[in-house]
Amino acid sequence: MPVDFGSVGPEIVLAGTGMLLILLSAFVAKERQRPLAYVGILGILVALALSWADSGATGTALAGMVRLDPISTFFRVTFLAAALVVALTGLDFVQSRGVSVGEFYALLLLATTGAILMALAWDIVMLYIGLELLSVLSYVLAGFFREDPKSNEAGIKYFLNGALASAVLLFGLSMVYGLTGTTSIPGIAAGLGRAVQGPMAPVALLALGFILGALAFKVAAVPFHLWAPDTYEGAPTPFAGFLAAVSEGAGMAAIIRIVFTGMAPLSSSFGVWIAVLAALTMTVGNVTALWQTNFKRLMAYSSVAQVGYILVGLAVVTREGISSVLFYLFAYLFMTLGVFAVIAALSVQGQGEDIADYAGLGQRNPWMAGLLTLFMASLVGIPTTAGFMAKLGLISASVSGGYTWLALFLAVNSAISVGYYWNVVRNMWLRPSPEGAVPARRATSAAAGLGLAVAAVGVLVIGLLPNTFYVFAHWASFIPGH
Amino acid sequence: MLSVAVFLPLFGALVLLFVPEAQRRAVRAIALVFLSLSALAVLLIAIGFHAGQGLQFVEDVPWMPALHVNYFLAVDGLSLVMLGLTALLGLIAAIAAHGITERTKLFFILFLLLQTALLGIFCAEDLILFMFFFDVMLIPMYFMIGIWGSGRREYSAVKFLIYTIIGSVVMLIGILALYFHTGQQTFSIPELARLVASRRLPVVWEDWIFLAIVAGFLIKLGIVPLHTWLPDAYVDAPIPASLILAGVMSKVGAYGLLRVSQYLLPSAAQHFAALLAVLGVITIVYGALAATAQHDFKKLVAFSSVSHMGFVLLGIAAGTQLAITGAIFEMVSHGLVVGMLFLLVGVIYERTHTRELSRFGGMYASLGSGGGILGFAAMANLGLPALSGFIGEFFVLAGAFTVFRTEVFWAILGIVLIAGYNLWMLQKILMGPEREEWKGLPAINGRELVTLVPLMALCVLLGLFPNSIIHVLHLPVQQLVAHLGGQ
Repeated sequence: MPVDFGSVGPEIVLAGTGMLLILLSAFVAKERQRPLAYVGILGILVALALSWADSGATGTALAGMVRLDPISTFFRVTFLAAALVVALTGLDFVQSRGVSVGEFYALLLLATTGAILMALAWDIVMLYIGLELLSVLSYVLAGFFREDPKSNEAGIKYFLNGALASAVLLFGLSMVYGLTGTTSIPGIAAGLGRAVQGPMAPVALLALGFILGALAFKVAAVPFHLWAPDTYEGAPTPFAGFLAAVSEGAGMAAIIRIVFTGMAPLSSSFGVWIAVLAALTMTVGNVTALWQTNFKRLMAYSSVAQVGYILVGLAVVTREGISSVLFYLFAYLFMTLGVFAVIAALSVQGQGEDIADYAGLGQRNPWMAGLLTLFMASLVGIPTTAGFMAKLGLISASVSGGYTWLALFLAVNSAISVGYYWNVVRNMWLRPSPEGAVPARRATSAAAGLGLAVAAVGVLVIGLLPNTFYVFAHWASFIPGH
Repeated sequence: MLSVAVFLPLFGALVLLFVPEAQRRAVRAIALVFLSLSALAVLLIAIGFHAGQGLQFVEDVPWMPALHVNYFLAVDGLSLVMLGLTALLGLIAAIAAHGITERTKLFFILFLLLQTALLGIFCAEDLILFMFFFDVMLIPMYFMIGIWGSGRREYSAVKFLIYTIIGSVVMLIGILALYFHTGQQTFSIPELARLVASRRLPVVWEDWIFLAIVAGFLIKLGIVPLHTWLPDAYVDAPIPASLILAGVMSKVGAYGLLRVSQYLLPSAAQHFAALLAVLGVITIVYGALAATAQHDFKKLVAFSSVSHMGFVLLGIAAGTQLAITGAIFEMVSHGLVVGMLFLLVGVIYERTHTRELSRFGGMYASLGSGGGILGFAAMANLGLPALSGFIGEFFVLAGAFTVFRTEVFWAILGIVLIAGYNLWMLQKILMGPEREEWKGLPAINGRELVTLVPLMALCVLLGLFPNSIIHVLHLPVQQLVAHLGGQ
């Protein structure tokens, strides 16, 4: 098979820019590394342009290790867009903490490369390489503030949990290899199709359990979510956004690749498993979030709950379900990154990260408060925002797919989530500013302003004119093997 | 034209974003200009409207073709009447918002947003578009109660929000289930209605879908036992917001019943007609009894409002031409009367800084013409013949009598109670010797009269010439009754 580097052009650009940044940051003083971030942003933009230009391509590349198809193109564009927003809105924050901007952006770009490789993978070896690239760099990014004990704690906790998950995943994958004798995903699908007829069928189910469990770790689904709150709280704020938007998405992409395509012969089993996981995840996430006082911890539980919603679309195991998952992930990136962008921008101005610190923000800084309200409304799922259209897609996929009970679960959970999302909104608009609150500084840097604008416009455009995005998600939701 | 009427307020809100906060007069003026323009557009629609035709001023363009969702606005008689009420009360509430002196700009931005949502609900003919407007309306109202309210405003605001959101998500599932079970790939209300009329609607779970959709509307309408958010919200909201809540927003629930659940799920509607009627009567009697027990003027008006919505539900449940016409008439009439009452609560509170009924007394002398207006409003509220309230209640009871005799008997008992608490309220506030502390209260002023007089005039006009509305309503009600399989 020919090795076709052209079709992984975006990844080569991304990884190349990342390595270039590592090199450059060794020669530029920490205080003068802001331009390096622009280099990183440029790299993401070029990768985005390349993958857009290449979006019609289908076929395998790198000797059958990756496959370009609508769904992997979709994830590629989504992850790059998310990385772009993170890169824009995180710049001030990273710089204000006096660490090496170049290194941070290098790690960010390489981690994104890993996430994209997971989505492109057409072979479990490539899947695992992508996962490890993303994970290892994520551990470093979570603990990036070396002087900050909370950041260290975030890195260590994420590392210990993640390493266990990787081992479990490998174990599951090795069982699959043992059953089928191949590492190629289509080969596995064919091999498992034969294996489930034979006496080894229980082993296949066991492997499915290990793989799903490990990926559930990755996306922070209950009961594998316990690393999330500490990691989100301690990690650099922009990276917490990256965890929610890109890492989670990569986990979903991996589930779609290995479970939905590779283990398609078992599709009668995993729908119900995922449904139970979804119901459990959203309920525990939402209910636990009600008690949080730190905004980033709250967002951690929020992202757990959102993962629960997204899993609803997977549980249905139909094309509509996949399409609604893709739409949700795309919409979710704007709302959740918007929230983290606001947290980061305000914390650069010296505001704390407790929800109580947000009291009176509506009067101190009405534009920031207005944006945060928009993102919160979207996370709740109120019409005119992306969140509503995304939930509409999930609910309609589950109602049409015969999972009305799960749709009701989702509905009840949305109502519960009002309790904590709206608590923040209430603090901002209904409560007076606390003593000694940070006075408003309206100006943000051009990069942060642009990133926030992208997030806000994304939320509103997807909420009001969703058709293009639905068509996009539906086009992408075709899965080989289904 | 319809889009212009609906989105002018929103456009005004966008303009307001760029007006400095300190320019309070300019903010108010801009808001009033946009509300007036929108009301003018509604008036033009009313002038161009033909009572003999069905949906008019149709704007139907694909919005999300992939999901079969259209941007579909149109008016029929029912929509037109509700649009008129919304435009009028919106304008009056904005004038009455004179007392909002803090964060005025934010208030009017929210108010204009709310007005767009309310106008939109009453002419949306696509279920998803309907849901859009239905949910959007919560957000501004939440802030209006929470920021400018009184008493336990945060509690009331969040209770309002959670109740309505639960209602609306359950309703959304109902609507989607309806969509999938019809299998016709349309959310268009007239299209679905045509399927119903030709009995080609294979709805498997009709009863469940009906319950899911109706729950949301009953919450909005404030029907016992789903009403507990309502007195809190009505009482703690600032006067202009109370006026919109009671005058327009509660009607959204009744409108939804007429437009969506009864219209599109007629056989389930018949299964549950008796249940709805009983809930209606319980609401009438409970609301009236609770009103009788109140010591707070505003709470009394709130419970009185609950009680009147019971009549609306009873009329809708009965499903005869007369009863449904009566229910719609009652919606309009109650909008006018409750508007007057909340305005008067404001008028009195502004002068006395209390709403405690026992502290009032002999105010006929101190309030001047205000006392007379309060007397008028109470008479209108208790359903005095020749005023609009009478027509609505009479039609509902007469129309429901053929279907639900026992219920009507209990409803009549409710009428006695309603008369009782209205007279009792008048007695407490106006009669008796004039109290020293209320001597020399400022007379009712021009701005207050501007808000009250149009409502009084309409109340009389509708009471004397009910046909002005009834002939517009004839066709839509007839269609609905035909769907329900009645005569």
